[in-house]
Formats: sequence, C-alpha cells, structure tokens
Amino acid sequence: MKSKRLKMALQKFSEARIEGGLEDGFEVMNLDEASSTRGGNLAGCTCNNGSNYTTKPPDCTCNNGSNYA
Amino acid sequence: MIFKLSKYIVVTDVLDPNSEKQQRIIFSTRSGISALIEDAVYQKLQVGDFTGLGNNVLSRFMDYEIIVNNEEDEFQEILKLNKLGVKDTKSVSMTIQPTANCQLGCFYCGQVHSKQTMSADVQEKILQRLIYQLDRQRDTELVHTTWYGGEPLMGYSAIINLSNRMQEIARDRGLAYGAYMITNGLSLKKDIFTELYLHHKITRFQITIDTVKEHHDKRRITKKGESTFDIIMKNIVEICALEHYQARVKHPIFIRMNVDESNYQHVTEFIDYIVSLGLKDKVEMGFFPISNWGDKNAGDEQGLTTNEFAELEIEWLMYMQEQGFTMEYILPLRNYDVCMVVNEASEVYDATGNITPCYEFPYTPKYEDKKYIIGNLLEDESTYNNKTQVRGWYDDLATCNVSPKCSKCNLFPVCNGGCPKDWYNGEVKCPTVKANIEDKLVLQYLMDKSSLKTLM
Amino acid sequence: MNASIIADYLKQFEDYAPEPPKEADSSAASSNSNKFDNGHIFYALLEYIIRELPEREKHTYCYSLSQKLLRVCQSKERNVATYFVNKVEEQYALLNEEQALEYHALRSIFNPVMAYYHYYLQHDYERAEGYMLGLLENIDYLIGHGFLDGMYMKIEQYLNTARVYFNAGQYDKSARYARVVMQYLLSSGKETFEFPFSEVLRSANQLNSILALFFNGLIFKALAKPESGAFFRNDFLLAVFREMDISFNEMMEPATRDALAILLRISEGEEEEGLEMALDTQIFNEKVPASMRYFVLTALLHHNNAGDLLPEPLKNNIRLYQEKELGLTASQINVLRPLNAIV
Ligand code: SF4
Repeated sequence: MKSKRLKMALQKFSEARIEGGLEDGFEVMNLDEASSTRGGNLAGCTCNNGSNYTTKPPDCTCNNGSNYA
Repeated sequence: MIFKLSKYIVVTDVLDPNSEKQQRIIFSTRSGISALIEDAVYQKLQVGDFTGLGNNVLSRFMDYEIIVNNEEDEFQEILKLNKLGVKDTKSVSMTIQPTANCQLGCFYCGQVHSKQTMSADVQEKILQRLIYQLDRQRDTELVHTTWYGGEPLMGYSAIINLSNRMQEIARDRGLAYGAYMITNGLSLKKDIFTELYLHHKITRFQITIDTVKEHHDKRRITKKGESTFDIIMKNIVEICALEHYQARVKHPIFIRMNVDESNYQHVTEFIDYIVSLGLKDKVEMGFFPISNWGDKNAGDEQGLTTNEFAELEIEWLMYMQEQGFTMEYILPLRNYDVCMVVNEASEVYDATGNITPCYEFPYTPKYEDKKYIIGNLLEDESTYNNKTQVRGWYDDLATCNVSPKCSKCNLFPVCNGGCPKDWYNGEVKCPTVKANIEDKLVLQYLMDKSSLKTLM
Repeated sequence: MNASIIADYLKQFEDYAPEPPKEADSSAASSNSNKFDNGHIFYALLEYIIRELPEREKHTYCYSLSQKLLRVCQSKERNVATYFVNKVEEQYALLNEEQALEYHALRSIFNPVMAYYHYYLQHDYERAEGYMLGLLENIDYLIGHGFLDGMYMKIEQYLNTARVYFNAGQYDKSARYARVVMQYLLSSGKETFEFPFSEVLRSANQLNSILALFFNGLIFKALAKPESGAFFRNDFLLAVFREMDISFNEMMEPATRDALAILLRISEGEEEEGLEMALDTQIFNEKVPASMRYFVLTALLHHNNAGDLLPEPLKNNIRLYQEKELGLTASQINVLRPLNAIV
C-alpha cells in the first residue's frame, strides 16, 4: 500500500473493529458488482433455508423454479 | 487433473499485522471478484494445497477462477473468452462526429479542426450503416450513440436529425436507445441541454474542466485565446438547477479533469469549488492523465508518470469521499473488450464520412494512413478494410506480435491492454490501476465496511 | 348459473389488499422452508460423489463448469456459452462407462445444462431431447446406487422434457411426460417410478410447493398457448390430468385437489357444475397454485359476463389480486386474459 493516509485509515478501522474470523477463511465482498460482468446476477439468492439437501451450493442461482420457461 | 492458484490474482499485504486473524484482500481479475481471505488459507493456495478447503469453498474458488485447471494456458483462455464475449455485447454503438470544427485550441489536442460539418449524404449513409449493423447483429438490444467532435454542438442540426431517425429505427425494431456526448460545454446552454437530455436521450455529458479557473483558462482557450472557464461553469450551474436535471439519471454531467505537472496541485481546490457551488450530488467527477495525442506529445512533455498519477488518484478519491461525494465502486470489472476497437459493432463516423475503429483517429494527421481507416461511408462497401490494425488486437496478442508485457500481467482480464493504439505505437502505457490496484482494493474495502469519512 | 350469484361470490375480493413486501430473510425463511430448490440438487450430487469417489477437485471442477455454462445461458451470452460447451464436451470425452458412478454422476451434472443450452439458446429441440432422455438413465443409476435424492432430479427432468416438447409444439409427447410425473407426485403409491415420492419428501410443505411449481409450470404454459387447446377446454391439460385414477397423497392440500377437480370439470365442458363446485369450496387461498386460481377466477368472471356486473373498485381489486397475489407479470396477464371484463 502506498498511500499513507489510506494506511492510517485502515489502521484506525482495524483498531475499532471487533475482531471477527471469517467463516471458511474467506468472505466475498463484491459479488453483485462482479456478477454484472460474469453472466447474470449470482447474488441475492433467497433460498438458502429452503434447501432440501444437506448443503447449499455456493452462490446459488436458484430461482425456486426451473430455467425452462 | 491438476489444479493451481491462478496467476490472475492480486493480493494485498496483511491488513492488520497486529491482529490474531491475519487477513488479506484477494482479487481475482479473471472473475472480478474480491474477497477477504485468511493468510493461512492464502499460503496454502500458493503452494497448491487445497486439502484443507471445504467442498463449498473449493467450488467457489473454482467458480471465481481463483483455483484453475493447471493444463490450461490461462492467457490464451482469457483471449478466447474475450473474443467470444465481445460478440455478445448485444449493442451497436456509434461514435458520431457531426463536425470537424471546435471553438477551442487546447495545446494537448491532436486534432486539426476545419469548418466542415456533416453533409446530408453522410448522415443518410450513417443510418444505412446502422441498419446494416443491426441486421448483422441479430442479438442487439441497444443502439447507442456517443456524440463527439471537434465540438459536437457545432453540428447541432445533424445531431437532431440523426438522433430522431436513429431513435425511430430503434423503436421500430423494439430496441433500447441511449446516447452520451463529449462536449467542451461552451455552447451547452440550459435549453439545449433540456432538448438533448429529454428528447434525444443523452444521459451523460462529459465536460472537461482542467481544474481551477487559473489553469483551465491557460489551456482550454478559444482559438483566438479567449478564456472559457466562467462561461462553462455558468452553463453547468444553470443546468444543474433545472427541475428536471435528475429526471433520467442521477449525474447527467460528468466533469473530466485532464491533469499534468502544471495543475495537479489544484485538483482538490477544484473539488472544493464544486462543493461550494452545491454541485456535489449533481455531478460526477473524474481525473485523467494528460497523454500524447496524435503528433502532440503533451504527455511526454509535461505529463505525470503513471506512478505519480496513481498515487495522486488515491488521495483525490479519498478527498472526494471526505467531502461527501457518493462513490460506489472503484474496482475494475472483468471485461471482455479492451475498448471499442475490438468490437466490430462499434465504429466512429466523422464529418467527412470516414469510418474508423478508434475515436482518436479522425482529424488527426498521424492516423491518416490506410491501416487506421475502415473506409468512407460515401464509397462502396467493397472498398472497406475490415482488418485495420487495432481491430486485430486480440489476435496479435495471442501470437505475441505486440505488447509482450500484457501477456504476463496479472491485471490483463480487467484491463485487456489499456489502449491498443499506444502499444502499436510502441508506447508502454498501462492504466493507473496497474500502479494502485492494491490501494484501490483497500479503499474499496473501507468504503464497504465503514464510513470512510470517519476514519480520516 | 346466474351472473349475480357469481358477483356475490366475488365480493370476497372486496377487502383484498396486497400484503406489504416482506422484510428480507429471517421470517420468510422459516415459513418458506422446505421449498423446492432445483439448483441445489446438483450440488447435493457433487457432495455425494465426493463422498464416494476420489478426485474431489476434478469433480468440483466439473460442477463449477456446469454452473458457469448455466449462468451464461441464462444471460443469453450465446458466444461465450460455446466456450463452456466446448469445455464440457472435453469432459464428456474423458468419461468411461466402466467407471459407472462417475460416468452417470457427471453426465447428470452436465446433461441438464447442455439440454438447456440447446433448448434455450439454439432452439435445437432434438439435441436437447437427446441430453434429457440420456439423463433419465443416468439418474436411475444414481438412485439405484443410493442417491435417493436423485428423485428430485428425475421429476424435474420429466417436467423439463414436457416443457421442451411443449415448446416444440409436440403436445402429445409433452402431455405424456407431464402425466407420468404428475401421477407420481399426486399419488401416494409408487406409480410409475421405483418408490413412492414420500420416501424422499421432507414435509407436506415441500410436497405442496413442488406441486405448485409443477401445476403452474404446466397450466400457465398451456393457457398461454392457444394451439395447445382453447382456454376453457384445453386438450393438453385434459390429456395430462384427466382420469388419473390414483389415490391422492394425503399430504396434498385439499383445496388444491378441489381446484384440480373444478378445472377438469370446466375443461370437460361441464361449466355449470364446475362453477358450482367453486362456489362451495375455498380455493382462493394462498395454498392453491396460482395458475389454478387464475383459471377458476377467469371462468367465474367469464360466465354470463359476470365480470361486467362488478363495481369498479371490485374490478380493480381483482386486477390487483391477479398481479400481486397470483404474481402474474403484465405480459402474462395480457397473454392469458381471455376477456376484457375487468379492464
Ligand atoms: S496495459 Fe499494462 S496493466 Fe493493462 S494488461 Fe497490459 S501490462 Fe497489464
């Protein structure tokens, strides 16, 4: 990082932040924006709790219906 | 099958070395995804050890192109995808220069202006060309025009005629229509704005103001040497006060600052000035380094280096945040096209009828050679050259004919080479993001996670 | 039946007011749990093969490939899609039938997306059909291997096959697939498939949400396409639902059963009887699939122009009900609405 002001801002932010680990060691920050150029919107899946199966796919594209319009 | 960490990755330093949870930001340029990642996980990725990753994480890393197939040549895969992606653009975009004239004589401008405006013949041919493009590109959903010049408003009647007809063509085919304009702002009176904004769907007016009055009036002057700052600012202020100003979009006016050695110290002062006029929520602002254009080498003579500019850019972005400008997203997106030059559905038409693949070519003596020009609208299509130099950008990259630096650059998928024309001219010209991507990642992170203002 | 009786009955919509949009998440999540999510089954399958076979990374890669292809198809990126189609084809070529589980599992992951690609972007129904029919075999293998949730894939594949044939104008074939799967879902026995659906079902809620999806998928489609039959006498729907001769699954919502009976009555030409049944039952509740409510509502409005008798505010309310409650898009309303009575 080159900007000193940015470094200071980050430091201030880190100090104030309550330390939280990342679930899975990883947390995506910009799925919405990035999705606009990777084929449709991936984010905003509302069906997580609706899964019938033991696990939920990552970035579910589910629309609670079929793709076959 | 063997898998590896993609080389198209940007990673920041550990954000907070004092904390227990050592985290970094990782940015996959093949997908445009940025994420927080624990250092321990990142270390494992680097050595290709994926055993510790849960199924879900593994599958996401593959989805985001962070973990990729080892057998693939990533660069060639990206190029392949780019070439296909460009064809899926679903829009026909035209840059139209209704005149070769301009009131101003900016020292860095590479164009040679003349009194020529676009004839009725040429206008007619543009419409035919649009129809040709639409027939060729069956998936088109949008017809888009960028009005450019010279100063486009000096060809006003051609704009109105063409715009009416193009909107009609779009309507007949059930397509959306939209337009932008790049103007010096001198003649953009509020009534003209209203007409163009409301009836000709121009939703973005790019107006260049080279920071404060003192500096702007040294360089963006009329051919007779008269100053223009006050007139342009008066226009902007009046337009922003119109009741319908934000009726279509939030920021119809985009103020561009061309920055070099002589005026970079005045950028923040100009930002203050815009705030003092109460325009902070009405206009969008952006800074661009002055670079060479045609035979004018202002970039070499008094431009800032990429590194210098990149550092300043971060400071300016932060300054604007502090002043309360809304800024949502500053990271580059994964793009299939580098710019218009690789897209055959994207052409520039100048007032004489010349068709070019790049808007820096018209009226510019350096680019009069055949290899830069697709053809002239007034001539038969059989004479057109569909293989102008820059159109072959991705093919030339694939065979390493040009810009070897890009083939090794981890930013390629979001940059795609910046400006192909420059590479062909033998200039190495990376966009500033090459020099400040890590800062941008941190800045975006702070913008997302906090109110940045309170941190400064 | 006298139109005024119907008008009286329709007064139940006088107090109709659309629900305010739900706040995100928490509350909705619990009440909607057990919904049918077709996207998840493929991930569940991936987890199944990861448990059973080595080469986790390769299988995950294949899954991820199928998701990428699906996404670009959904956003109609025709050219980019070919890139992923090629990648998928490379993987098909590597499959070995002797490694049966891998063979059938990966084909089950790829086939539906490939079918979708050919159907949706290429309009090549034949190739789409090929992928789908192959898939049914693959799924049977997986179910036999122990992946019982494959039943979810199977029923969806039947519905998809029906949709593809329907869109290709092959209504008879379409109805055959639709009938088989509907018979299976509606009944309590095993009917045409290996074991009763209740063996994999998680709850009654889930069954009803699946049924809604299937009913809506078929009924809306049929009503929108006059070639498949007249609105009130739709041959396609008759072919799917008539004389099923099954014992209904007791988890099925009784009102939905009523609505189906009404729909059949009316479609068989016994409009009076059908409408009388409608007046006696409570089918205008959220548990009944929207397509069925739409059909019956339309029949009521249509009968002796009963819709014309309604006062303006009530007409508006009904329109609102169609939009908000039945979730019809403007274009659906325009396509589907056979009468101008309530405009
Ligand atoms: S122009 Fe520079 S930043 Fe862009 S891809 Fe080429 S080397 Fe990388």
